[in-house]
Amino acid sequence: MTKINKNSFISNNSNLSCDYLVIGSGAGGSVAASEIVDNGKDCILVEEGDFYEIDHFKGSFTKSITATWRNSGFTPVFGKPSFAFAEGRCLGGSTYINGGLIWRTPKKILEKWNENHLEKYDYESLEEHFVKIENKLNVITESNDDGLNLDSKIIHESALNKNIKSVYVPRAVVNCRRKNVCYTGCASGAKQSVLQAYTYDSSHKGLRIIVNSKVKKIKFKNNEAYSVSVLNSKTNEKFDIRFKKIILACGVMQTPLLINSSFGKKISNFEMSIHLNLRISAIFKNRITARLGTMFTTQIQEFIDNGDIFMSTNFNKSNFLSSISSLDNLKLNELLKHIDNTASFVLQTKPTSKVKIVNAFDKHFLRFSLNDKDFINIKEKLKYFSNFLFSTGADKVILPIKGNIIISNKSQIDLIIQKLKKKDLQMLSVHGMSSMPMSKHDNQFLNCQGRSRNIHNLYIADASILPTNIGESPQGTIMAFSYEIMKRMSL
Amino acid sequence: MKKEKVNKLYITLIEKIETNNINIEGNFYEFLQDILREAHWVSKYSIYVYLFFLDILSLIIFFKLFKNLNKIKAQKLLKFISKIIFLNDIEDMLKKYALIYMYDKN
Repeated sequence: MTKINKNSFISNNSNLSCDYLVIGSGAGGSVAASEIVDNGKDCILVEEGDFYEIDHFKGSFTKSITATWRNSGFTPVFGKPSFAFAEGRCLGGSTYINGGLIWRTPKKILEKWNENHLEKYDYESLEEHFVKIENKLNVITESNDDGLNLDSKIIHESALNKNIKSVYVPRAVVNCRRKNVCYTGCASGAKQSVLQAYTYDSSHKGLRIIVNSKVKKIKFKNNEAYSVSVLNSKTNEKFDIRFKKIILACGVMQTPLLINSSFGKKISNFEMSIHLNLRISAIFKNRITARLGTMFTTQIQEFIDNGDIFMSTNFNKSNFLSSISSLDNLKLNELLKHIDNTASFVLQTKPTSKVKIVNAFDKHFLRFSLNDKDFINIKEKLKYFSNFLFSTGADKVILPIKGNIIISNKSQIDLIIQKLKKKDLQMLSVHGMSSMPMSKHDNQFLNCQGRSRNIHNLYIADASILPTNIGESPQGTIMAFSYEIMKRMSL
Repeated sequence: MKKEKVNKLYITLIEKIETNNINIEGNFYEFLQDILREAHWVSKYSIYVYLFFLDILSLIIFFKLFKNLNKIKAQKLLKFISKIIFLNDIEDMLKKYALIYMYDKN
């Protein structure tokens, strides 16, 4: 297996210059850097976080949460309801801490995007990129035949029996050992993040890498960007990097914040679309030992056209108990007795409500207000999937509602959902997108080449550029779009 | 941030949860310091505010600093704080971190 070329890390930060500067090493940035060095060009990749091998943390969340998650895993979003937004901050970005799920962009979404926002981003044009991504990341679907992942198996089989659409999911893994701690990197090294599949390779082809360094400002002159000011968080050293072209891939929050701080006025609309994850746990009559498995192998897609999907999720005492922390400790203790009969599932929805990114005095915070339409949809789906879990053999269902209400029969659901208030929903988000969307319309910051209309050598290639909310894990789409942008750049 | 106070808070937050084979002897204070080093500025100040109120309310109600309260009084205080808007959200966040720490790799 290829390892990273340690000589690719830059130790002397004085007088740095390059032809192509890529900021951010996640799904978009790693593809951009890889395409640049594959074409024999000179490139520097700057990452705010540090470098860790994918199995560095051996499953320890306490060690990985501070090292590889932005804001110690908890970026607060204030509103009704308040919740946490989470993303990665290390070499590999969020692909280091996600489940390695790689979907091709749905044709229907691409058709809508081409109709309203983009030009020639059709499925056929992107297919060559998806094939490349799937090969490099070793994207496969895994069966449930190994006797593990019983949580995925139960809901999959039950769904098929009821003619509900459920599918096996494509994941980037090699010999997954079912450690069930994908959010810590990968304890067995099986998950194929872009770190291993792209950046390791690029580091042997001349890519120069700077870690622990945050780009604070982009400098412009006559509609051309020429330099960035960077701060090394370990040494507090400040330095500049000069470049000919710059590709921003800092992620859905950091990219607009960097543009905003560099321009000194609001360029972006400063809103992002998100997916909302609501964790529903269930205690089954039979032993299912959900900790023996991976994040999930199947997904219920009955409502995918509406943006709602349902699947199991990583399960162990740590993440299960912390997800129901509002329960009294005696109840937590009682639930622990049934831990081998318990599993957690996620209802992921695609709200039309957006998160506002507010930036003031170099500090930012996030605001959100769930609109009535989204709230009604969440209530309907909570009800549907709680009932569904009872029909699969669950004895009790724990709802993602403040106080973590435990229900033991279907008849209780209606009453609880009826009384539910927005502020009482417990949820989190791990997918943000569309904060600086590409557009064929001249009033938007980016054109369809991913290039700024104002600054002619500035490109963006991350989740920010997706025109609207996608409704599925966006990693595959971000990577394919990054390939397409680099192709249109004519390296 | 005082080590004794934070470790006492940890023990109180996880009180009555099974303690077999878990990280109860460790040092939650160090983990919380790591968390705060990288935390969002709102979370960071919220936790400092919570720890400040922990002592203030402890002094008002029990005339003692939180670290000097016995187990029962410490639990009573946390129960009281969990009814106060804003502080209850921070307490829940701290409890999540406590549970993550308690059951790490378990």
